[in-house]
Amino acid sequence: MIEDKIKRKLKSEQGTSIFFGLLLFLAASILSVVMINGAVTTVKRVASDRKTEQNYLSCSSAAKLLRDKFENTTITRTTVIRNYENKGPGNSYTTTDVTWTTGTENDNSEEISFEEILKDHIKNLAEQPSASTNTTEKFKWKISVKSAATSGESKMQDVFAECTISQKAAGAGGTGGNTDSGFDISVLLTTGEGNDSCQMVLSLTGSQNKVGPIDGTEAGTGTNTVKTSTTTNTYTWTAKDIIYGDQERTVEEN
Amino acid sequence: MQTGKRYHNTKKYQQTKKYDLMKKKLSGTSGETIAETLVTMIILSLAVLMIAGAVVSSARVNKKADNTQTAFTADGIKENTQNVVISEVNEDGSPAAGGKSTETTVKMYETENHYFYYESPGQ
Repeated sequence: MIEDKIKRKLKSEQGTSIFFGLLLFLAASILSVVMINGAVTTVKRVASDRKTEQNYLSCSSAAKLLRDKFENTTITRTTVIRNYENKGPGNSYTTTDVTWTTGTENDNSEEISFEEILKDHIKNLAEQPSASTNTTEKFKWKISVKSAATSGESKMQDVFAECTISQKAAGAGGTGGNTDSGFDISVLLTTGEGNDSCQMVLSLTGSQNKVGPIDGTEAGTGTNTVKTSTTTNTYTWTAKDIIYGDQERTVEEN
Repeated sequence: MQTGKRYHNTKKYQQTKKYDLMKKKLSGTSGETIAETLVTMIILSLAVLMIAGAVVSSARVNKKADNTQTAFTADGIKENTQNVVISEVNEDGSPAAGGKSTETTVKMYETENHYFYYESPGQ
């Protein structure tokens, strides 16, 4: 009797359908995936925010460092024209010597200073042949923190500085009645990749102070007398601004 | 209505049969055996467990993310000295052949929430 009842119960088909059970399971799994996906997205966004903030700090630190370096740099070009006048038989002739120096001279150590590196670029641009139409010098620097303690993904990334030195138009910005008007510098600093990257532009206005030509004499050899004419051009820079972005932007007035 | 063995083997008949069975299943009061019902309950329990786990995990992760401070604050700043290297590189960022480099000492700062920045010693 009881056995019959149990058998009837086991074989009974009254009740709920497995179909709805599986449907609910599917809905639950989809909901779980959506919730976990949301949480993971939040974590990634926070990590990205931190990276962006650090990249901004790295970029602005490098920009300020370069600004200070440029503002404290003085490059001098000394041009000495020597006129050798021969009192005896023979021709007179003239020589021109150009010397480039920086404000902080290398004390014979093996290290190269920032001024020395910049002087080479200024010299390259200034000594372009007169027929050349090239008025800019471009190069790229990498600014990195040396210590291993601050390297790594969450620390300071390397900053790349694309520098452009432009020779000013003749007669603009110079002093002392000269036509060599100095060099403007624009530096585009970038760090990071993708949405976490940061870009800044450092602009510096170049100025040039010319002294001379100052006439003088030097002791000659033999029957020569040497008359000299010395001209000194001093190049300096002042920072205009550090701009956030990849280029200077101006607000257009309506 | 078509009948006969030939009709019963056709695709149309098979499809009609399946549709009728499904309709009967959905609208009817008959269900499954008690064994299959128990299996259904186990599946439902797993589903509820999965949702509960997902809720707890995502709540914990969100709370941790909310507590993470991303803003730069000038509190508790540690200072030390580091060297920064300025070196010449190619367009692609690789070291330039014969390129020069120079080192300069800077003041390195670390904030409480582990942001780093530096300044020239003169500043």
